[in-house]
Amino acid sequence: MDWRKYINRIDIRRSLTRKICFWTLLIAAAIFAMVFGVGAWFATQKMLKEGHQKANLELDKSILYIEKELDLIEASAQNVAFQFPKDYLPSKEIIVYMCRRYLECNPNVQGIAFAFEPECYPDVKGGYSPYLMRSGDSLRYTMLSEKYNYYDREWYAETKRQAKPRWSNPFHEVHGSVICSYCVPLYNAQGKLLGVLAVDMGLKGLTEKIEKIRPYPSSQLTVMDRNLVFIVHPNRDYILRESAMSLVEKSKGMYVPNESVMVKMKHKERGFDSFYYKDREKYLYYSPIHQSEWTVALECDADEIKADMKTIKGEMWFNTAIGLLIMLIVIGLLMRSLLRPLWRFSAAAKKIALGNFDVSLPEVKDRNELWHLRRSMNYMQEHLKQYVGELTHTMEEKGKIESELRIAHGIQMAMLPKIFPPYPERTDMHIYGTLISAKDVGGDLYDFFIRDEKLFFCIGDVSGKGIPASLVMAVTRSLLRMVAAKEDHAVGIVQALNESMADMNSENMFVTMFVGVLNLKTGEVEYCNAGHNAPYILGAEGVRPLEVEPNLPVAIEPNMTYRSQHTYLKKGESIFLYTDGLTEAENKAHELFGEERLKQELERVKETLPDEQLKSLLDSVHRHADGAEQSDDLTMLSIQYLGEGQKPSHEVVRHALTLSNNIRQVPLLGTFVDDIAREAGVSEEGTTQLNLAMEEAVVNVMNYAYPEGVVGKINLTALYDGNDLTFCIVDHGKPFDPTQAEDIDTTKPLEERGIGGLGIFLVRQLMDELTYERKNGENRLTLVKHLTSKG
Amino acid sequence: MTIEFKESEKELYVGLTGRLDTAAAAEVSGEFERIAKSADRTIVLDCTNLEYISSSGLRLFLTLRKEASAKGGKVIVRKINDSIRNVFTMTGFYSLFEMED
Repeated sequence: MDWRKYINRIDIRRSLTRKICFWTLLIAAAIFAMVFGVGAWFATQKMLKEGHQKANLELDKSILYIEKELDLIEASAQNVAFQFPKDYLPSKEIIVYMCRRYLECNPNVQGIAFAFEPECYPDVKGGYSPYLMRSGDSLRYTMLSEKYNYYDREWYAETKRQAKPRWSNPFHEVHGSVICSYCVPLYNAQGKLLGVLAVDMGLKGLTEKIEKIRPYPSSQLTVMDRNLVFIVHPNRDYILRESAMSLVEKSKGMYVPNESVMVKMKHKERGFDSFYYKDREKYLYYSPIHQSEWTVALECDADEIKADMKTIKGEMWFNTAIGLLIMLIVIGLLMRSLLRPLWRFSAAAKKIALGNFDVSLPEVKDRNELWHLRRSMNYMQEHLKQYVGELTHTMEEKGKIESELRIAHGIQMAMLPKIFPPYPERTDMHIYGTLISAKDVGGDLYDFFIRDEKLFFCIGDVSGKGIPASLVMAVTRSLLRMVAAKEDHAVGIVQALNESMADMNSENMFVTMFVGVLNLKTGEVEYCNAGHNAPYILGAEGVRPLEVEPNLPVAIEPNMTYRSQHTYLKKGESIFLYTDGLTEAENKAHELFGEERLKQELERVKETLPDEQLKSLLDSVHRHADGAEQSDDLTMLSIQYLGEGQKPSHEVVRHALTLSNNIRQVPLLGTFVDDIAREAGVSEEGTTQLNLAMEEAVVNVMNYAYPEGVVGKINLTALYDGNDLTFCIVDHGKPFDPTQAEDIDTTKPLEERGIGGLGIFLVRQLMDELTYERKNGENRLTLVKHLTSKG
Repeated sequence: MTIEFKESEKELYVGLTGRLDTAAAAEVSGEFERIAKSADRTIVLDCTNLEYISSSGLRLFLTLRKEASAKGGKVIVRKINDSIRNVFTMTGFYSLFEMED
């Protein structure tokens, strides 16, 4: 059963839980990502800001340190300058002593020099210029003028020119170390320049100090003089050799702080810039030192500033993943607990499907969706119970009807001859019949019996199907046996059946029939067809359809005159009768078995025994139908004649007619007589005479056989055997023998002539024989006309 | 069966057309009773178009003939065909009526 697969637990869990988990996680992840993205952006900004602050702070720290150093030197230098006597020139020894004393008191000073104008100490060539500097733990004395002409030097010339204390450009002092000097001009009381006091600050020590300022591992601090020449740089080779501009020149675009940055630096402004150097983003923070007109620059790697952010981002991703995992587990568990009642509903539904309508449904307390589901299922249970109850009742009723139908079918089949061969002792004929019902009860019939060495046989098909048809079939079969017990001719049997059945036919049902009477002595078959399929004659000469008058089916028209026909069967010939259930047997493609196929099949079996014929035909019908359900009964009857029949020289013609005792029906008699007379070759004059004789005889019966107001039947048959034309008038009225009536005297005068007796008189005059017989409650009046001239 | 009447002072002309069988005789018996009222005159039964007659028809003719005989009239049967003439001969009616060709 396929539905079981659909309610499989695993499938439900998969589809629902998976779907919900998938979508929830997807949406949560999307929201997370969005929040994360925005947060990360803000956090990055914040971190950058903090990075900037940190860098600026470090920058300020280094500036503060440098300024402090500068201030100390400036203050001590100015103090020395202030104490220098203004009204006299101290002796050389005192000056040297002052220098020695100063260095001893100011450990942070590298050296001190007094450089005098030439006229102050004329005895010293090139000017008196003692220079005392530290060299290890000792002090080293040098006369500057012995080394170079200091008057041209920037530190001296520029201080002299500006006439105020100032920081010189950094330069290599006479012993090679890089220094920067604070130069103070010395004046006497008259305001005349005496010389310049220069106090050295060693840049080596400064460099070592500020190099330690390093907010990020790869950040570097540089100090530039007023011309942006490096004073402090991690690369010692750059000091006093390279400037910011020369580096930009050299790097050809690799080291590219903006041009405006240079301008800003030169103008001693504070600022910030970012640039790329070797594909790395760099941040440059710079600020001036006003007193010495230096610029301090701090270069940091942007990635290092953002490094923390990266760590934070990684942690956030990790946390998010953990969060989502927890969410997945929680949702999964939640779904499982939510779906648990659904399993129970599913199990209950399975039980209901298997017919257990009373199965209890799982309890649901909250008025949620499951509560509604439970209510609907409950409703379904009740209605299913009710519906199935009704259905069961209907099925029981149906079963009863079906059982009754089966019984009816049994009764119906019992009416048909079933034992074959039916006449095992007979050697002059074989007969075999079969009826296969399409539905339980059908409307086909066949029958046969032997009386007076004549085989009466019949096949019929009642219009319509089912019980109505079967009832009509049963009536037909019963009437047939009743009528055939007395009637010798096929046409008479059909005629009688037609009258009885047409009278009681309220439902307008009818029967197509073929009735035949086989004279077993002669092989003559007298037959009457009532709208049925023409039978086939099979034999050594081949297969041919029997010529039949179409005629109306039985039970349609009470006054129908049926025509009798006859033929002869030769020894070994069979007459094959069937109903249209044979030719209209359908296969699944709705193709009919058909007349052509029937003829081909009959051709194959034309010389075999009837049972073989029918079995072979049934086989081919089954092959054709190939399991398709048939809509109509299938009936076949075959009679093989094996007697030594003798065909007489002339054919026998039989007609039959039934009238009621009403003289209005006399004109019907005219047609009946005209027909047989024409077939017997009677002249027009003779026909008129026969008409008159028959009218007189029949009117006589109409007038006398039945009492006034009683409706009675008068059966007429006409037979021409090649010599005589015989009419037979049968009624069931009171005994009346017209032959006993006295003849009238035609010679009597008018006054003596009676008004009656003319009719019978005319009959006697016109016919050759007139006989009366009373038998089995019937009046049988026979009129014979000899047609062959006897001399 | 149709009947045509033509009445004058002296005679009543009755034209008979069709078959005068038992059923027709029953239908037209009323007409013949009416004709019988004129039996004091000459009644001409024109049988030119009469195809057939049965004993019932003959009885109508005979009744009319008796009535005429009683009232002093007469019945002339005009132009009967061969088969009717045969019947008339057989039954002796030929001598009872005044036949006219």
